[in-house]
Amino acid sequence: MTTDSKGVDAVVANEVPPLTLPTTTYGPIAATSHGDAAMGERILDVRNFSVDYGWGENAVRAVDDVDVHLNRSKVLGIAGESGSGKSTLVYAITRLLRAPGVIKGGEARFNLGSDDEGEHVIDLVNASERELRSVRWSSISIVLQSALSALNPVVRVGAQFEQVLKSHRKDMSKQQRRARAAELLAMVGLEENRLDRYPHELSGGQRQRIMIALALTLDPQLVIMDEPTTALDVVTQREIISELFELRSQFGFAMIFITHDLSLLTELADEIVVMYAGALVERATARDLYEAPRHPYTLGLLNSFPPMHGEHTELSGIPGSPPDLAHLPTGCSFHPRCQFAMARCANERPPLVEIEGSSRSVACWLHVGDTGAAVPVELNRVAASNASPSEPVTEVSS
Amino acid sequence: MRIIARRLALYALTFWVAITVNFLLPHFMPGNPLQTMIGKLQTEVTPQEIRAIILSLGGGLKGSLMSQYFTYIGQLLHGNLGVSITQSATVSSILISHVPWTIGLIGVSTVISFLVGTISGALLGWTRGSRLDSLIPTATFFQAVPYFFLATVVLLVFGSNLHWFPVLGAYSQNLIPGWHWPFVASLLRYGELPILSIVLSSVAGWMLGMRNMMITMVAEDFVLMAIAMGLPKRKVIWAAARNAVLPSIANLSLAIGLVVSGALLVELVFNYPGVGDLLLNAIQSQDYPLIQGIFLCITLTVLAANLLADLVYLWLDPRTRTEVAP
Amino acid sequence: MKSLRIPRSPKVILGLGILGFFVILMIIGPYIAPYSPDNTAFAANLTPSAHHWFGTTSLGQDIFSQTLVGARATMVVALVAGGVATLLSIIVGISAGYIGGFTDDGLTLTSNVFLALPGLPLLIVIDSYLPVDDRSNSLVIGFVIALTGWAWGARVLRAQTMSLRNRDFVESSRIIGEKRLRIMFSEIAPNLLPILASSLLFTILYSIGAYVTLAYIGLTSTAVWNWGTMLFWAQANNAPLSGEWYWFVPPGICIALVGTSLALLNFGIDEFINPRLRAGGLSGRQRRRLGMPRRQRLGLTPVVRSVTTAPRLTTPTQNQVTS
Repeated sequence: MTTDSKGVDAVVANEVPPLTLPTTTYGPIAATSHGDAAMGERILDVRNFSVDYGWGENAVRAVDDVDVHLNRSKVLGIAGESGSGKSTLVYAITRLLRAPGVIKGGEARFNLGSDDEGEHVIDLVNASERELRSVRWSSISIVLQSALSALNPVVRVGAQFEQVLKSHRKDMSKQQRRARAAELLAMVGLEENRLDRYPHELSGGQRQRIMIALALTLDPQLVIMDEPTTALDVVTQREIISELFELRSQFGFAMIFITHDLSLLTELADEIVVMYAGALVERATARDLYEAPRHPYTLGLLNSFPPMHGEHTELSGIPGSPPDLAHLPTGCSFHPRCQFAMARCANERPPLVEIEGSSRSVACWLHVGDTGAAVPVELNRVAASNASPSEPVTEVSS
Repeated sequence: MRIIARRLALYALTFWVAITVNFLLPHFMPGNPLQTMIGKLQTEVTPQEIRAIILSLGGGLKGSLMSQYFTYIGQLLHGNLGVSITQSATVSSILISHVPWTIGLIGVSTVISFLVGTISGALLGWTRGSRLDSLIPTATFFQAVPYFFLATVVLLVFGSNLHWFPVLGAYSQNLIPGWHWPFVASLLRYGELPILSIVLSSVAGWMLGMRNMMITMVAEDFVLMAIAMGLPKRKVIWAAARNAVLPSIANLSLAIGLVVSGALLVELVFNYPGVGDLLLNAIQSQDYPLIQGIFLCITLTVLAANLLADLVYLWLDPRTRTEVAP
Repeated sequence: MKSLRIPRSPKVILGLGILGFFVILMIIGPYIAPYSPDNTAFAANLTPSAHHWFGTTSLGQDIFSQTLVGARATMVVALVAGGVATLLSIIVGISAGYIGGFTDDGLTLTSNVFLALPGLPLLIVIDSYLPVDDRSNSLVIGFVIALTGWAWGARVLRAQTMSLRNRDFVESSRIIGEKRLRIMFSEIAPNLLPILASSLLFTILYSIGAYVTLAYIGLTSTAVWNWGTMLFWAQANNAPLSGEWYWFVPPGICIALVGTSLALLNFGIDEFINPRLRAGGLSGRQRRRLGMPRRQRLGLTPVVRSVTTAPRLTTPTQNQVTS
């Protein structure tokens, strides 16, 4: 495995090595369990989650009544443009969101696992500082977008591992801690001598690998990736992602992957939720979403990035810009930018409803039965690319 | 090490500028420097005093300005700062008996003030928005009060009204200076009030500066990461404070100059036998060789303190170290 | 162009109020003083009373009148020195930052030397050589103080100029062939306003301290009344030890108040320059009413469940856009 990202500038994007990901099974997520019922395979269950920025009259809703859930060892992708609330949601769930963020409601239950006494579930929203500290890093860890700012600039890499281990693994000796740090570095393809370096002495790719190694230090059940590769060049990005998934198949941690690159997500995630203006607009398995995006915004996102494999398609992007959260459009927040907007969209906000006979949900009037509106051909990518141009395929949702 | 070499060169240059200013000032005055200087002395001038003045101007007024300048520098290199006009002793011997007092006073109070100010500033920055914030206006006021005024008030309140502390001098006059306990105890006792004054005047600056930097650091990602890592709170605060203290140390050069200037006046208020007291007497008796000698001596001390601050900064910030050897 | 919009916090308003008061005092002080500050016609060492608000000196002078008259020289020197020093730092800082190369090296070296030189001792040496009539001249003293106090501002302004130099709007002026001086002073300088203001406040603060100190050690002419001279006489007559607090407290408090007002204004500018320093905009009471914790703790996002939800516009009143 390459550990050095030097010379990447010369590599053309076409020569990027294809991703080799461990096979993951795509399929419907197990039926939702309700209330205080046992979580079973579910590791994270977030319901009716709302977040505001600011208080009183100045409050702006940044996350609005969102439900997400994640099963053990699965990957949940959260996609959306900047300002869509995807990072806000995740930081608020982990209670790391800074002022002026305020959680306005909902629950975020985290399954710590079960033993003889039964299941240990903690609601992060109601947890005390002490409870949170016991969960942090040992159960939930996080990798930030910029490793340079996320690593303490005046502390050697090794000492940063040391700090984590010293705080959480009190029984380990100094030698053991050092050995563990070296082992972790080896896992991400770095040599042990990197431990004696300061963050600024390493390349961007090396720093991000160290962040990943740090995140895995305590064998967490859930790792949150907040655009972990956005700041890197495309080759390093590929390398790191394939390493990451190799590690995941080895250790079996679950992952929340936040990115605006929906194409990337369709290859990595088991399930994907798409956020727009603080609300979920679509939830589907990665394959379903890739083959047939149901929400016009999802379609727009998919067309904004080149797919990682396959034929070159024209990138179209989404017209307009994300809305100001303080002055959201009426009805469906997306309707001013939507090429399929109908009269209804400007007045009524579409609820997130399950599409009958599938495990996916979408918040769009196009897919609500009583309108009888025909789903435009663009919202069925696979069908569209397979069909001959003269023979438009129209899929009508019941 | 290149950084250290560059700083050293800068300080050498600065010292040279100070020497040159010292040399040129009397020559810039209208008329014959010697006559001007003697004219400024209100008392009668003895031949000995005239000789002292001549020495302070560069060993005689014959020859070009350049040759006088080199004579002057040559004298300095031999540690010869001239002879005091009013006290029949060489300037260097007078300085040697006064400088330790000043360095001791300023050193101790600066260390106390830096530690107290930085620690309390870090806590203020961390607990920002709490009740502790009400300390800030008070601190601002103390920052704005001139050192000597605060010293005067402290002297009046704690010294002459409450009689909590001895007020004048550096030690009890009944004792013979030496390394024995009664003297050291008296030294500490007499030092309390001057040190308290200097600390009170200078602590607010460190505190407010540190608070601002701490607030800035707490907004950084790595502090959030320290929390996400579930580190104990004191380690999180330490991570932020360790980075926030760097600008304070980088600004030491400016602060040292101010503290030294302020402390000289505090000595004056308390009749502390340091350089400040000496300086006032020299000014009042227009003892120019002594004034100049004191100026050079203070400059040298401040530059040495700057160098020390630079070394500490290099030691604390690894990023500056690697700039040298990439 | 960024205009200087300082957050209107209580701190800034208080600072402006105090500073305004003393600026007015600078102008009208000598006219409203009840007596001449030199008049020794009164009984010595009177404690404050209706006739002598601040009492009298041991020479029988009215301290209240001295304080009012002294405001002028003190403030004038502080403002002149602050202004001249800031002007110097603008010229040196912007030229060094914008022109670069040898000019930058030379100017930076000069300001570093002045930074390393201890300001007040240098000031004392220069001042001790000044002829007596120059010592009574506020302008001369102001210029000498400015000479020792410009370097810090120049360093800060240089750094800021360098970061502005390659911005688009400067780049475009350069491309259309604007003159260098014009770019420096009409394109770059306005963007330095907040930093400039902060550096002006600091040099005024330094100047007032330096001037008062010079006067206190007897290096300004005793013919000119200022707050430092008052302190000089108080000290010379042993006022602190003989309990005549009313002699030295009024000038001291005045100096401290002017200094505090400058520092308070600087708080406002700091918050303008560094948004992180801005408070959330809620007072403690407001927070409690909204059920918020008194302070935000990092890593413990507050949970406030309330019946009233944040406004989410759902009424069809605006933004009627159709594709």
